[in-house]
Amino acid sequence: MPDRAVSESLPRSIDRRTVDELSLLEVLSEDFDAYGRHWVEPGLWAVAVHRLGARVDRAPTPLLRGPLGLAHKVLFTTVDWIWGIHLPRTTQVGRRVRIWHNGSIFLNARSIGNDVQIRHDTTLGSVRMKDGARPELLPTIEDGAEIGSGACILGGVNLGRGAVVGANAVVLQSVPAGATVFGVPAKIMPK
Amino acid sequence: MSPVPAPDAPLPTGDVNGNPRDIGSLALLAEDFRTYDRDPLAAGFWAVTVHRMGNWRMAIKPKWLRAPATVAYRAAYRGVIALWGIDLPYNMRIGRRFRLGHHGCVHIGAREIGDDVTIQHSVTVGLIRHNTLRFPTIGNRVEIGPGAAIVGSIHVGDDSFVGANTVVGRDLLPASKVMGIPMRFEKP
Repeated sequence: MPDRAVSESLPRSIDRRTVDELSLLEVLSEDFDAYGRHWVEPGLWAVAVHRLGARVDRAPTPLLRGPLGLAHKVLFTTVDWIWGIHLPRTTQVGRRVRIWHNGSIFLNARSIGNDVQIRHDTTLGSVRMKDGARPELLPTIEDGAEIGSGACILGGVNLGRGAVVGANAVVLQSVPAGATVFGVPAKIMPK
Repeated sequence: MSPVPAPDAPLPTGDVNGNPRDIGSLALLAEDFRTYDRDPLAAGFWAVTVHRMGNWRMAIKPKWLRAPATVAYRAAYRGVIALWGIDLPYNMRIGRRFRLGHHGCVHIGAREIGDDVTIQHSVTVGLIRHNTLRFPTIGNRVEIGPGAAIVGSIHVGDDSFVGANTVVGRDLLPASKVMGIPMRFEKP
């Protein structure tokens, strides 16, 4: 791992560390920059609470896990109730993920990659209620994907690198890298 | 569920307790709590409880005796809309084990909803045109995906599944599976 002075000067393409290799402070300051340094953005708070939750199980001592888990639960419920952004800590979230706007955002995914853009009213989850949150029935969003408002990505599908999902599209099948999909159910648009 | 009412029949006036009759009040509350996996933080549980409360108070016949409960119900109803965006008026009949998957932009104005119905967030159930009474009815064991809209005087048959972001504007036979705009039938 490069030391701090080197890592800060690294361009994005070279800095390939995963979110787990960064310290909480580093990842939060990177998120703050990704949100244009606007600390009142609801999405920034949702991501920050998620960063805390994702690190509860890696707390330095087991004694801290109880209070940290409780703090996360309180903050998570507050973000969920006030802004309607539901980002559970079981979802793996990459670096610089940006959630634009707020309201009816449910992100129950297997993983969300780096630099993903998510808009309001987006639903990531399983197709049927009875499927619940079984990981193999939840979507995987790869790096750099962009999701329009009102879109639903349901089931154990894979959204490829840099794919674009149009507004209100319903994605039920895997999307190749770089493709643009649109419609209900979603179809791949010709380039 | 009773037979499907006529499209322009008057709406239930809400002057009777419309909760399911085959179960006691506390047992109904306990059953709703179990439906939401015993999670007291589930917004849907509180929205349904406020709906049930709006009906329970109508069992108190003298209006002056009911007044405090009415004030409390109306405050709670507006509170649920403001905090979670769930609009569930009390004069709509809702069956047992009704489940709201998530909260946010849920507006439900149906004539009647059956038992074991699941509705996700951003769902609209209601009118096509205002100043009409053409509300839908929803059968038993129906599941409605996120963002769907069910509009007009239609009946959604038992065991149907409505996919995400689907607009339903016609009757669905039992065990239908629909999806898309415009809506089309999927193989069950």
